[in-house]
Amino acid sequence: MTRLRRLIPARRGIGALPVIVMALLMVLAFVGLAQRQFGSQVANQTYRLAMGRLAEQLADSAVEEALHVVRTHANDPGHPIFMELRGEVYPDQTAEVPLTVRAPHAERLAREAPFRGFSLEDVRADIVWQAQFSHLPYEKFGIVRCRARAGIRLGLAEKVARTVETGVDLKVVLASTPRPFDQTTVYIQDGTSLGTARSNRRMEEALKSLEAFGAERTELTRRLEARKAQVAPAGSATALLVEYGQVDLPSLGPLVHRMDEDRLVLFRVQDRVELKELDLGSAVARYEADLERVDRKLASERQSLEAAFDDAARHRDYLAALREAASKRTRFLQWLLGFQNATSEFGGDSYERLAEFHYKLELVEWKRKAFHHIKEAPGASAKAQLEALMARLGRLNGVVWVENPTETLELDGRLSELKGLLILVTSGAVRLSGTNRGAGPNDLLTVVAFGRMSVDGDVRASLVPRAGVVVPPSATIHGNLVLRDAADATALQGAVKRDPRYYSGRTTAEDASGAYPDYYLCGLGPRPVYREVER
Amino acid sequence: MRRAFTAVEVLVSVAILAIALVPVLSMLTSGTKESAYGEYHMIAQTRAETIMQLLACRDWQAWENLPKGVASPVPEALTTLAVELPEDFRTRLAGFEETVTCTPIDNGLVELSVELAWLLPGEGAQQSHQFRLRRLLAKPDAGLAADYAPRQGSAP
Repeated sequence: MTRLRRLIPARRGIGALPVIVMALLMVLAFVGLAQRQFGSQVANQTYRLAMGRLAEQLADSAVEEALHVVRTHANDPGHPIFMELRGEVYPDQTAEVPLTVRAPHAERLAREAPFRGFSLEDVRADIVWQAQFSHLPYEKFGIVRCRARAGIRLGLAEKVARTVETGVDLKVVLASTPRPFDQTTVYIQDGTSLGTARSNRRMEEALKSLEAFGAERTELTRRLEARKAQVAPAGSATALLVEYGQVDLPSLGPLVHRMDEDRLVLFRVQDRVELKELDLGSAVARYEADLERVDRKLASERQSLEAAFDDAARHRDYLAALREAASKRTRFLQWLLGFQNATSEFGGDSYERLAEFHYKLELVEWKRKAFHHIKEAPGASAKAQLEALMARLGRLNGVVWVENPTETLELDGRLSELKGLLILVTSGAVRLSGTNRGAGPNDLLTVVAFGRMSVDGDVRASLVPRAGVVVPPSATIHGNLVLRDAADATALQGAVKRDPRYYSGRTTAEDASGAYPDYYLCGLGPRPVYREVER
Repeated sequence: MRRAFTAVEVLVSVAILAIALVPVLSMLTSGTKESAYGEYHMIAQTRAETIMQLLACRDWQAWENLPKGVASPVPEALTTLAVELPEDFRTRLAGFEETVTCTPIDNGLVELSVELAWLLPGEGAQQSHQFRLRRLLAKPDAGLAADYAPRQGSAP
């Protein structure tokens, strides 16, 4: 054994195995450390990403709340936003308009899980761009931008944050009869359709006749004075002279004047207007028929008088015929004065003064201003869609544009009471049957129809038929009526009783300070037109 | 010349391995576990975000129909539309659940909360993982349904 040990030399130090194991362990430890490092980097990145996305959600909530504040207070006169949104806008105006908003609920979220530790800042809303609809500083469209920044501090110098910005459409629209047509009971855009040329001829003839009657009276009284003693029965001449003097032959020349036969607007501002009064053509025809009869009688009495000038009875018969002929013409001229108001109101330049606003009644204007759009479709009538919208919102405020090319939109049944400040614009026909009879003090309905409009019973609305209207004798419109023309005058039979609530103040192209701001409705688009997220 | 290791060397080596391998291996597995946790968390967050997004895109009536203030299962119409969960997500994870809670705050403003809960394999119920996402959503036409009184003569 000892010999054997001598043959195998003894090793010094530890063997190779522990060294190999140590080396292997070092490699493993290195791999482990590298993986741990990589894993923690991935986890860190993931955490940062997760925090970033949470920040985005929180900022989104703040933006949503800010938008909600703008939406719910846009038409609330008690909130500063009300007037901030209704500021006038001019073509060269580019400044942003800040709106008064706060987001208390989003701030509360920032203090609770999963947002604990997050901060919310720079929550704001501004009108970033706005423009006039059509040369009017008070009806406008634009974009409201809402912005919020949310973030969390992850270390002393590290912060994850997101800024969310979103924009929605803005429209500010007058929710009543377009101005200045709100000041009239009945307005006729094209008065020439009433047959103004024929009326002018009759008017001139009536004025000349009254003048001729005056000259004839002067001549007869001169002759009667000369033959006073011959008139039988004796002593009746004095009384006859008094009767001649009492014949009413007013001088209406300075009051009435010709109606423009090429371009004419007409309106009436009386509290109540019987529509059949607007039928100038029929009235002139009736007048002409009456005139023929009375003039024939006058000619016959004139002849009889000349045959026996000294007979007092002939004078009396002649005087009766003269009175009737004069009175017919006077009444006709005075009736014409109702129409004359239209041309004399602004010193004769009413056409220029009023025609410049006619563009407000055109379809293109209404389509741009619409808050809601309903389109007739197979299986979904315009009426059913309007009913659904009404049921969903409860009240309809703003401009609703209805495309109903084949359907007659019947405003009855569930649509017989249209609550809210509503302008309903239809491309097709519309029928109102007792619509809004039970309207409350806050309900103003304006119906603009580009198809045939028909009215039954008592209707509380401002009506703007652009393609004719039928108002039977039994119908009464409590509001006002803005007609394109009165070509089909026989269809206009009922009455219009003016409702002064449709008057929304007075403005000019340069100055809107006389307008009543409550009559403007502000609507914001339901969906964002853009959304941006900044890191 | 002797070529084999001595018994002492083998014993020392095994002892070193036994002592050092535990932290090294735990270092390796902890990284994997951490990344697995992160993966589940991210999937849950993405899923919750898409459900929230789909809720935000829906008609207001869809939110109004949700039970108020109580957690209810996410409507099926949404779960099928939301980002699909990886196939093994539900099967591997025990007790997977997703709920939505709608809490009215103000006229036309609600708080929606989407909550996902799951258990990692081998973990007990008390170790349940959750992800909760909350967001405010507003009725798009809330401002146009009110009763406005048009006052005359109130020009500024």
